[in-house]
Amino acid sequence: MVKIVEQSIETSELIDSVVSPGAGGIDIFLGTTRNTSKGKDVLTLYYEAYVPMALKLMGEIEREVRERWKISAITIIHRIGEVPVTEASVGIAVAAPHRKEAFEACRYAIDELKRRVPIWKKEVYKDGAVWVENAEALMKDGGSGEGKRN
Amino acid sequence: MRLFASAKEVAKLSETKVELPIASRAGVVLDHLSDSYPAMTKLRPFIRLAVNEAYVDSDFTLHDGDEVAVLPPVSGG
Repeated sequence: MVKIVEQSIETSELIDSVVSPGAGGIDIFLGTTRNTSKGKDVLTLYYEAYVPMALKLMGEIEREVRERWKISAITIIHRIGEVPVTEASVGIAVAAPHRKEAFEACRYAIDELKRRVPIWKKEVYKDGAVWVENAEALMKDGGSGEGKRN
Repeated sequence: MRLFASAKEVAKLSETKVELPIASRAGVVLDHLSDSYPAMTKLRPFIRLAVNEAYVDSDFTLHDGDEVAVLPPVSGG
């Protein structure tokens, strides 16, 4: 399941969404707003998305994960709008029969999300604000949409 | 055409309709933007384009009614 929300990401709901009898483990990744960036104090973050395309590409990542690893369930949620310090902007949960697949699939999902899904964050400082660019997105094959890097 | 994040701020525009010759390439949209907003020139090498919600190269051929999106480097997560 993939979702874009404007409210807090509830970790209990995230976990509940992937619970399955065939799973031997659930791996969770939460990306949270940090109060510093490159030596500057960050007051808060704002996220913007090209929502329909972002959902398509998140769905594409979900399909790739299911093709590559034997998993029971996966949920990818991204929050947009303001995400204050300490709160989660992204949550990924993967349930799998064995932990190796859960860890690997979860890592793949967050790495690919950061590389190609059309979502942007703006860091707000005391003295201004800047749109951030993910290092992964600036690579030559960034966002080719095929997950070719493996 | 839709613009996002830094591209939207530079052009002070989130959505607009553009008339183009038949079979124009998607990259023409960036020519238009750079002409209208000189500040866009700096951003241009980093922009990726999408047509109808899928990434395309700048030589992609446009059709009537296509939605072109101007996407700065992403920073989700």
